[in-house]
Amino acid sequence: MFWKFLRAGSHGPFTHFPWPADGSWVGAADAQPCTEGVHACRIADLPYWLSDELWHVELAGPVREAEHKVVATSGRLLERVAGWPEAADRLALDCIRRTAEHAAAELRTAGRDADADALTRSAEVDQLTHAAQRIAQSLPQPLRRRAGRLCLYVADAVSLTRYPAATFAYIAARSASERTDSVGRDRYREEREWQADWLQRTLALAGDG
Amino acid sequence: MPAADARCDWLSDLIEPWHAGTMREKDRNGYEQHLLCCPPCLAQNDKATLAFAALPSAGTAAQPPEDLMTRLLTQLPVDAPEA
Repeated sequence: MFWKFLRAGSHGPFTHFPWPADGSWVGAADAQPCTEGVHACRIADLPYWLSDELWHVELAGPVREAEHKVVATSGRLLERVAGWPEAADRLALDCIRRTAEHAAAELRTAGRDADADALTRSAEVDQLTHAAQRIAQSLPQPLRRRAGRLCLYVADAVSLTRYPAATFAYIAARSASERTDSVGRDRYREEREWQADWLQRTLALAGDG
Repeated sequence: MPAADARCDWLSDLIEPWHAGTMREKDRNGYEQHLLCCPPCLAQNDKATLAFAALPSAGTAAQPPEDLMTRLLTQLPVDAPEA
């Protein structure tokens, strides 16, 4: 099972290639990651390529695995995945909360438990913004570089009201990667894995294969 | 270049190599993932895509007649400075 994100109107996100929605095959001379061929996603790849439409696709020929994608010489759209982009706002909100959790974790690492609690207790997004900004401004200088910055990521994320879900997913992953309690861990990848699991559960996607 | 490192102010330097297909896979991933996170950069890349697509047609203008240079040179004033 593979999937593909397209822009509105079933166009390629960058090439604007108009994918035929009637299931016709689209082919290329070769399958070279990034430059030629039909690109698609496994479950784990989905968070990196969020866009307007999500399609279940079929690939033909040898499928080459690459970083964050697979590539084949031909493919076709099978069906739109129900629930997307309707779920995009929920993903964005959950990613904002994840960003706040990472900021709170960094505050705890810095010994600022009360600030961390205040951040995670903020139920509404507006409360979260105010709490994050207040905490960032109240931190002593040495802590502003890390914990303060993660707090400001929270405030920034909330301010990007018209940005796509991909933006919030990236901010959450970036916030995770900047935690100082990450020795031996790839928190960026872990956050992306959390996002992939979210998409699979929420959209009831079948497993890879 | 992971998406975490791609920045908006680098975009103008990366548009051409991206369109030419000369970026490494990792850098290309980072560039494209940044576009999906950043509507202004995506819009800029979209404009460049249209511009690059129009370039081949811009270069197919009618060819000048073979004797054009001869006619131009013969019509120059006698005291015109040499090129």
